[in-house]
Amino acid sequence: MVIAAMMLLLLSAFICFFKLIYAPDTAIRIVATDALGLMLVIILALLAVIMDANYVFDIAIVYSVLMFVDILVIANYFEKRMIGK
Amino acid sequence: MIFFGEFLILIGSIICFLGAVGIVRFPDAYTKLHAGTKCLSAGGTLIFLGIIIAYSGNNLGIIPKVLLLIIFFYFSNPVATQALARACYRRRIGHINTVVDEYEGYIYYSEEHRNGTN
Repeated sequence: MVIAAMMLLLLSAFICFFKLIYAPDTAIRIVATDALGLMLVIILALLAVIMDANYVFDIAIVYSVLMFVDILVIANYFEKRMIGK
Repeated sequence: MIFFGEFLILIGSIICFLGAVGIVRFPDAYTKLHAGTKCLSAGGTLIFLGIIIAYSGNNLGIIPKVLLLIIFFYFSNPVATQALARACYRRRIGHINTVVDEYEGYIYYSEEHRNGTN
C-alpha cells in the first residue's frame, strides 16, 4: 500500500512539474513550486517507511523548513521587485 | 491496526492527487493556491498519521519525528499561502469570475509603494 501511495504521489509530482514548466504566468509557477515542495516532503516520509531508515525523516524535516523559507523569500521578492509578467 | 494505517495512507495519497488535478484545472492563481495548499495539508496529515499508526510497531523512534512534521506542516502552510496570496494581490494578479472584492482599498499595491517611497 505504501508503494501504491508513493506511485500516486510521484504521478502528482510529475503533474505539478509539467504545470511548472508550461505555466502561462509567474504567479502560477510559484504556486506549482510550493505544491511540488510539499509533495516532495510527503514522498520523503513514504521513502523512509519503504527504506526502513529513520534518518530520512530528518531529511524530510530539514527539507520542509527549507521549502518554507524558500517560499517566503520568493513571495517577498515577487511582491517587492518587478520580476516576471 | 496496520490495516487502518494503510487505509489512511491510501486516502491521503488520493487527496494529494486531487490537489494536483486542482492545480492543473483551476483557472486562477488564488484558486490554484487554495487547491494545492489545502489538499496537500489534509493529505499529508493523513499520510503521516497512517505512518504513525501502521509502522511504529517495532521502532518507536519515528513517532516524535513524524509528529514534528505534522506540527510544522500546520504552522508553515498557512503562513506561506498567506504570503503568496498577498504578493499576488499586491502585484494585481487578476482573479477570474470574482463577483465582489471587499479587500480593495485596504491594502497598498506594490507599484504605488515603490513609486511613493523609493
